[in-house]
Amino acid sequence: MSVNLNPTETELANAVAAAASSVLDTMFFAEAEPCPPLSPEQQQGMMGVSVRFDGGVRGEFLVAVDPHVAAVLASAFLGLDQGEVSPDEIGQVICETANMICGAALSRIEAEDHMRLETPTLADTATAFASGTFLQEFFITPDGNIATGVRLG
Amino acid sequence: MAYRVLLVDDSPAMRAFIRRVIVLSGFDLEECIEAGDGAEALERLRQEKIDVILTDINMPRMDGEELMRRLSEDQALRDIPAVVVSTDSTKPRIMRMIELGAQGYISKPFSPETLREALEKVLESSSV
Repeated sequence: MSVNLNPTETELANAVAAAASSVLDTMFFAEAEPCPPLSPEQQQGMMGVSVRFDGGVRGEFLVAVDPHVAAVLASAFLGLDQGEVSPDEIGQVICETANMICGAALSRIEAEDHMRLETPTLADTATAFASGTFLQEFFITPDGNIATGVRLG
Repeated sequence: MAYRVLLVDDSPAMRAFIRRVIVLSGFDLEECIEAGDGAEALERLRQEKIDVILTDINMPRMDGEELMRRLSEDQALRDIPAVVVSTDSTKPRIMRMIELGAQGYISKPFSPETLREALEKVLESSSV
């Protein structure tokens, strides 16, 4: 049994990038490509979600999306026009998006071990990212930007 | 034959997504009944005829693993086929859920085809 208790930053970054691409493509029919880091100003106003996890590795995963991207993703996920999607539903969809990306990324780096994800919650990701303690990845979609961050421990 | 599906997930958005995917996939659906956790699922199973269960694992109150354990101990419910739909695709988790009686395991993210094929496969093998 091979349990990766100490994934490198590169392994984590690769796992998150692959998971984000897979989730957005398969569940939302959305194209997302890695892009250069966003400035703190660009990250202000993004809708953020936090997912804490433990098991073989313990930590926290963050997803932040532009409000327009959030509305587009929720519309695609629920099969509704954007005007029909409520703010609560947008929040639920972004929470589920974070849950899926986090789970898919962790499954890639600790496939042989147990993992447990807590219920995703809306969070102030701009402040968390500004702390400098999260390994961040950035993606661009036709509708705007998505940022992810992961911190172990 | 149209089937009655019990969909167990604590995320209303995910339940709405899966319900829509089942319909769009062409699966022969009579009704999709929803539950927000394992405890609510057991209540629905005792009230209604269900042909197949789709269940998440990580849920509050009663999770999918405890639901599968309760089903395996209940003679009236143990033969209803169940498919797990989860973000957790680690081998120990998959093996544990199969040991508890799950007949299928779908990792999120998944395509509509994957979901339909899994439903049809377990229903065919259980001869509902």
